[in-house]
Amino acid sequence: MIELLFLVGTMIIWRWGVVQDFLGIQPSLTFSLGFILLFAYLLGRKMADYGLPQITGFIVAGIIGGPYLFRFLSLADVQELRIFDGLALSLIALLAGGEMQWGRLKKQVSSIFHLVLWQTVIIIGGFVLLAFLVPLGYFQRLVGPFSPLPFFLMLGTLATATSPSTTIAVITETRSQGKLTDLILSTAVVKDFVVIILFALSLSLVKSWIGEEGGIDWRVALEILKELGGSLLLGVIIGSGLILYLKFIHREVTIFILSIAFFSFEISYSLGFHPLLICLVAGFIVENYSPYGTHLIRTIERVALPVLVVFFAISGASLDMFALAKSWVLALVIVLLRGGLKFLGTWGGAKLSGAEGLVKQWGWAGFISQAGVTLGMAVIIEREIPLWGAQFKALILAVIAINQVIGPIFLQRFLVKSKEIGMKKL
Amino acid sequence: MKALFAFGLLILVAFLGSRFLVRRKKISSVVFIFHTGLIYLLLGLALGEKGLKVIDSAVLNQLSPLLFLGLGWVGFVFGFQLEKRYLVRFQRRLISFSFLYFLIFLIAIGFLSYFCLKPLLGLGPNQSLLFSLAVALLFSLTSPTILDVILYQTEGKELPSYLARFLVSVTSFWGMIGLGLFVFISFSSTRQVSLILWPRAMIVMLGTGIPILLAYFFHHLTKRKFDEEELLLFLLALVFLCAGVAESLNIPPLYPPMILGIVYSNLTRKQERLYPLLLNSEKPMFVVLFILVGALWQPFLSWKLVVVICLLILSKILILTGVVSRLVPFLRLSIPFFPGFGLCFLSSGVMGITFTVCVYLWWGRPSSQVFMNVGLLSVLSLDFISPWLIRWAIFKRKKEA
Repeated sequence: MIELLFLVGTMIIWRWGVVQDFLGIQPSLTFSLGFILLFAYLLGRKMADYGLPQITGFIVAGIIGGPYLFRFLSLADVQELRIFDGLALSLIALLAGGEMQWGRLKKQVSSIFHLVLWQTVIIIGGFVLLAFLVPLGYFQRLVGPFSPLPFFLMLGTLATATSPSTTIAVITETRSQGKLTDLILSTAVVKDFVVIILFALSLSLVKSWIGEEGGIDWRVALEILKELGGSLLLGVIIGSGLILYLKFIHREVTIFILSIAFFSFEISYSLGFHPLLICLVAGFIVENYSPYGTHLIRTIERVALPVLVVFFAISGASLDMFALAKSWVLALVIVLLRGGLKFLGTWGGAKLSGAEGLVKQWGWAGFISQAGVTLGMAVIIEREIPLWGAQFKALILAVIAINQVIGPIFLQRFLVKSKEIGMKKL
Repeated sequence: MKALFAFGLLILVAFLGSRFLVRRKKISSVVFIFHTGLIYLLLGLALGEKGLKVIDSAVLNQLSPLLFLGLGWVGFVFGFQLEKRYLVRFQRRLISFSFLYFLIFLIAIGFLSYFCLKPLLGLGPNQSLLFSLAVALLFSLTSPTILDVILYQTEGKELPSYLARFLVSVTSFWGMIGLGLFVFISFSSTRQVSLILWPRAMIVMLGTGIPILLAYFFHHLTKRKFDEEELLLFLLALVFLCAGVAESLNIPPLYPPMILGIVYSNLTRKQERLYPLLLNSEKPMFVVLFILVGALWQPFLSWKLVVVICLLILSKILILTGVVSRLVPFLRLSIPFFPGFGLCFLSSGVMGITFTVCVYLWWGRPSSQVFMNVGLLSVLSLDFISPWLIRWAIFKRKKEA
């Protein structure tokens, strides 16, 4: 605690004390980065002492130090630091891919399918049903003068999403390994893709309903297929490249993997592919088609901690606290409703696939977190549906803020119950 | 597609550099450029504004924390070696040797550059004075990388390796302190800080005081049990903080992390845990630093510049072979110091590059680009000719023996 107070005290003295006011010297971006790295890590460690995931600490540190509370990081700083997102996402996905063993995974295909299907159907169905149940006047007073059905359809689509990066990070942090860990991780990853496809279809549908554009644009589906196929292919190529490098060169592996991580993100960005999927497949290939999986994971883990801390602290700093303050009641209702529907969807999927009882009871807790993909979709909605996109985005930002803080806590609870925490031995 | 190209190049160079060349026993000048990692500087140059424009000014701006981290890392590693328990093992005369060495360079190169640069580069008297001071400090720096290679080649038979490495490492300390004083006595055009003494004294106080405070903090953090990943995180965060202090106060980013390194190494007893980590992280850190420095560099060549660089290099060789070896009998040092030994001090490697970039970033005036060119071209040239000259000196010594 002393360490945390020292850091915050130093920053307060700089920001509001003698240095900035008297000498007119603002802390630079490099200084802020050092501060947030240390502050987030120490807060995460403190949270771990209380049985909470470190990641929640990183995110909370970002919120505290971010542009909405103490303003140790300005909005511009947060934007500048987003350059590390690509590196972090790629490393996270490589780690996740490296953890996936096909031998274990193939036994769970049916469970993954049912979980994804029933969560999607029940959550989207639940929100659409709500559109008919909520009195029109009440909805319009609360949100704005629009028709509730398109609004709730989009809300349901976005509510289905889970953040694979947060899921992977919690699993890595807790060193969890086992059947249930694999199930949660694989379902989160597969669902991520299903949600992207559904989002494209729902958006086309909504736009045609509200008269923004006529008819459903099936080219969108084709684009998504191209993205999926391209990402898989590139992942296979990168994975094979990694195997060849590890087999024949095997020097400066850290530099090589960092280059791969940057490269994957850059190339996916320029080709419109999915960076997470590319690295996930690459890691999966190394793990399942070579003896270098463990070496790959060890190398990444050695350098990943600072990258992950910055990544989650910056995502915390990006959470819009003004949006949360404005609509926290409505956001909380949506969070509760989403949690309830997640429970029903997971329970249904687990029952039909014959998954373990623990998945039926507690599986939902592994799918609460929400982050980048949902945020990205909200931004697209704001741009594509000017009629209510801005209000929608503000509401979604508030929902994400809550889910991203509580999501890792619930996931860790599930992993504790599964008794798979600390089972990974390297 | 630019990224694909950059990536391909990086991997190719990493592959060529690590697989084929470094494994060879006889190290030539070309191989040495790979060995020290200076090849990444050229790679950065190829990727920068003057080359393929992959790392343009916008990308550089976003990656500036990494540049400052790299510079700060060098400062920290340097400072960390200056541990009192280690230093007291050596004769005081060796410290005097390093200080006299530094003074010789400061005076000789300082005067030479002052009188050369004014007519050759067309600088005004004040600019010339500052410029020559910076060049003199740069030329006083030394890097042990070349020495490590030579010691490996000769298996330490030709040189008292322990002493030689110590001398080469310690000599740069005066150059770094000189950099601090240089910043204090001159002023930068990028920050409109008043020239009255006390605000500048305050800046120097903050630039020194905050790293000392952070060193105690680091010591407190590493008192309890920690693993390697945690230690790396602490180290990265604290070097970021110190380099950030330098960036905010507009002082060279080598200085505060060096203070952090000195204070921490004298507080902690966990050096054995930190050294392997520093060694493991050094290579990736330097690769990133060199690529960014290369991208930052906008080289230009003119005959005047070539003359200046040649003159400076020639003077350094003459001072090292002719003057420095005379210090040994003068100080009554008990080391076998033949004139060729002085050439071990020829390379300034990473220290030279970081020093040049620090002055470039801090100065912010038009002449800083000229300084960057003089500095980086000199460092590259010196590192290129060093292995050849030292091998020649050793060969000559053997023949005489």
